[in-house]
Amino acid sequence: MDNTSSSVLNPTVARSTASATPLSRGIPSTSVSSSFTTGSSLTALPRRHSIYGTGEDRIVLDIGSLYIKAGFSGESRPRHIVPVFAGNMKTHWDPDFNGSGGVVKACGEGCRIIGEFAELFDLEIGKNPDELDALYDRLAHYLREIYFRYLLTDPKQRKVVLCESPMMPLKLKQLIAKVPSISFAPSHMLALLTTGCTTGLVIDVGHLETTVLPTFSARPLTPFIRTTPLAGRALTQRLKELISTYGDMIIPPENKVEPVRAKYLTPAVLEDIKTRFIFVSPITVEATVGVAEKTLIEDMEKKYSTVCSATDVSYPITISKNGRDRQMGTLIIPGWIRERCAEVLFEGDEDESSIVGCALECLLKTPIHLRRPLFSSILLIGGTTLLPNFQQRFAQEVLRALNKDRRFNSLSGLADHFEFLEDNGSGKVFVANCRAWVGGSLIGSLKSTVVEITREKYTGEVPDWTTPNVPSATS
Amino acid sequence: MSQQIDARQRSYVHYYCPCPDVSISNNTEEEEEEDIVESIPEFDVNSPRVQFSTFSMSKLYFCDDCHQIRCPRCVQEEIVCYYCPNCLFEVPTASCPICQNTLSVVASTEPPPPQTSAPSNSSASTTSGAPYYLSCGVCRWDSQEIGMTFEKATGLALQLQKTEDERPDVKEFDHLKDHFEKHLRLSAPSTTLPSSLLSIPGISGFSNRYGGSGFTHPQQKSDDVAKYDAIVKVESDDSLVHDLVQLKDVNQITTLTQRMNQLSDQPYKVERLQPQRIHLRTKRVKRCRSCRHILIKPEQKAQATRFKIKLVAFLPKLILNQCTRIVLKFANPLYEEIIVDLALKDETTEYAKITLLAPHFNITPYNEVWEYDEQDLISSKGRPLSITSAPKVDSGIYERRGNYTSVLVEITPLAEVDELKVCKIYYNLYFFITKFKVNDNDNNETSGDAPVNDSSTAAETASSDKPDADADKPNTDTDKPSTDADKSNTDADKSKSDDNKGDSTSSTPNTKSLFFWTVIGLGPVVSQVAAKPPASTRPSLTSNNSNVTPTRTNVK
Repeated sequence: MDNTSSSVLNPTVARSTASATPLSRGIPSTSVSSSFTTGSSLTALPRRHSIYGTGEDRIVLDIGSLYIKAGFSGESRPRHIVPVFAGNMKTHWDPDFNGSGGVVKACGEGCRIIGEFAELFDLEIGKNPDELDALYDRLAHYLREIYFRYLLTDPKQRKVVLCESPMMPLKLKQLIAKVPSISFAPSHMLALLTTGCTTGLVIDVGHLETTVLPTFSARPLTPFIRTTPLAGRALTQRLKELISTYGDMIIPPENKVEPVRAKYLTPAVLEDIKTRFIFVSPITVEATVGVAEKTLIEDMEKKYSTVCSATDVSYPITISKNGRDRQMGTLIIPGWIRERCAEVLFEGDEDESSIVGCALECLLKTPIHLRRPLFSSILLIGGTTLLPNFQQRFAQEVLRALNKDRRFNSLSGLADHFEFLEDNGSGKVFVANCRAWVGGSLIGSLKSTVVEITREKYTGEVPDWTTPNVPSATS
Repeated sequence: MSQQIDARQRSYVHYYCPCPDVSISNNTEEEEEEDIVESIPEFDVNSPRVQFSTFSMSKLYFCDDCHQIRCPRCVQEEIVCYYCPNCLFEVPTASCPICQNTLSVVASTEPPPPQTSAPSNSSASTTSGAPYYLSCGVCRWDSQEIGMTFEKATGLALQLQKTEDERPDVKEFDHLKDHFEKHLRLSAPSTTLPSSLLSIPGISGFSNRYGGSGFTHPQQKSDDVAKYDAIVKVESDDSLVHDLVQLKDVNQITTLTQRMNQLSDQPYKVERLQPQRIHLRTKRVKRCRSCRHILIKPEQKAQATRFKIKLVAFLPKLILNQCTRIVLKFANPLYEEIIVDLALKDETTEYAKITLLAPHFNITPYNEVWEYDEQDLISSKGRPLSITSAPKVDSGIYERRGNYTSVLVEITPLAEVDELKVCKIYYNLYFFITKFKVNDNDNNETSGDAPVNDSSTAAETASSDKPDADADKPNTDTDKPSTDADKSNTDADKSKSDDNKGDSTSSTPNTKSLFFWTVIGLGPVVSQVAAKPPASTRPSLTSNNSNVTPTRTNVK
């Protein structure tokens, strides 16, 4: 493991000792380094606008299970968000594979992606060693792509800041091993920094799970962390169930209305629908108990379709493809699905708290004197919170839960202090799915020594809150 | 018919690279003379890792010094130059926010339409009367729609610089940076960034982990960052929900692709999209990871398509000829004869039984003459139709022509897969191990006539002491000839060592055995009969076969 991981980002670590001075050997006079400088001096622009990033900039990576955010430190946004696919980029053909544009980004050298849009890792990573090897292959592949095709930079000289979720599998951290130097930084903390504050209740609604982590005075209070699997993936799952149950398709040439066939609902199509047409309804449907209860799929139409005003949407979908010929059909998405699909995030039960329940449970665990400052500085991050109206609905649900749910009685006095950090600060100046990355970019650019693990000192151990002290990680 | 085209497009041949010098495999597979099947490195076709360890021919290189195939995983890359894929200069232009194609600068002939002069946009001051705008030739988008025009036709990036600098996220970011830098200066000049900002773990008081200087009184002193006042405030767009409720046209909402090209705000609404810079590309040098010799070195100029150094893999090129009863065509790109042994990983896979009809064969060396006059040089040709009966003494050689040898592989479908109902079996045929021997004297002056190295060929043909009944099938026994050839070639090598590069080790035998797995994907196999009853013994493949004309399909 140790040996292999050393070469993920750092191809120079060959076995020979000569690798310490990689450029000193055997390169003709028109060497790489010289052309590199001509390239960057060509753009006589302020540093921020350098296309290639300047030498001191660190690479900031935020590796999620569906998207990898990558860019240079000192910049206010990532350069790229790279979606992750199950396959390898093998052929050069046809950049949009999903009728309506797809999620493939023009990555420099147009490459078709084989394989479905698929999660890079699961929460149960490491259960089976083979999967870990496969993950290693994929990750190495993506990092290579990111360095050379997206960031257009040489991995050898770059330090790395990695934004890590507290629940990020330790195995994954070990895989992303030796680069010239790597710093791990907790993503909740980083996101909080982008508001200028150091205290807050950070709620990260990502793809695999929602994690709620209170942070006080720049200290993540990791023992109080709460998580729930209700997040992007649960939403996608719900969307798929609803569309296959209640959606319709029109398939030429007959143009008859037919039920939806599951095979057309590929992960990429679902992701596209989810990110474009789904929103969170401003109107809560009264529930009998405090936190909204779960509804069976079969009952949903009855429950929701009458209280929705959203229009049905005709979504063009690829039925079959033959070279350049593409047969398109139409998927009809009922309006109420668009409006009520996201209810899944607010419905909890004993096993899975809703996002709101998760946040409040976390608060209940914190010491009493911290509750008020935390409750009045709530920060929502993660891609799923980008759903239109998510934040407003979250606020409504919190207040409702405080009033109605007996579990949270002790918190009900706080209701008046409920506030979002963004509302008092700079608003949505950074997009919620990039906040952790922006924070990483921020600390990467600060003129101070950041705790880092250098390649020489790497022992296979990475710092993590679950492991005991790592002596090698000194500043 | 169209289905066959589809299948052909999806079929592929991929070569396996074990990455011997990168992975921790304990195989010492270099130049082994053992039995083929024993010395094969582990290869599990069902592993998800296969996707990342098999490559098309165009991605493989060959290291002259290590005598190893090098795949993208076992080369290391260095960037030589950056260029714009559109104009091949190093000056980037802009790309369309809607369809990501290249925008061109167009001069407006008439005064700008009234809505652009309205002060709707931040760049409104420069827009009035400005004569140039960006236009997309593909989707007809133009930058006047968002009120973006330019005074000059050149230096667009500089003209946009000002608006870029005024972006709220850029300003806020710089402000934040100042804020924290000030804090660090004031609080603890000597210490590091509070370690709690980094991966530490734990709660206050526990964080003595990294030496902990300066953290003894965290609450009182250095810790609390001064109150921060944002300089910008971006309000969320409340009309968005309303628009979404009433959404009629799906194209009013941006796709993820569009959003990810505009990461500063990732807008939902199409009218907020802006043109983006074209993503540059790079030319890269590739080196062998173990010996650091250069495998590929392009010309530095973007316009030049030549390579200064180009050591691409010279594996026998496999070309899929027919997708059902497969005809594998092996092309020899070298000026020396190649002997190929084929072996299967599993004779029987989940879906089919695979039989190699010609496990050993040779391929005649390449000769330029064949490029011009192919007809006369057909040395022998099997009868394509006769093979439907049991293969006889011609032992599966389908065709021999020029530097090609085509061999037959028979596939008998076994499982009545459920996908038959949908008329499709996604069918991956992964099985080959190919071992081949090659004379390694690349430095031979290649004259017009066949430049076969005399010694090696002689040795090999001479030692084929088990002549088969069929003349078409020459060197069957592979173990013996290789050793013989090795001996004779080491002699040859010594004598020729002056001609060779000085650094090449003289102990290297000239005849080289390499073997590698090949993954052959056939794409979906389509049954002609739509709903075939599952009782029938020979479903899709053979029935398909009869309709397939033996056209050549070049798969790369």
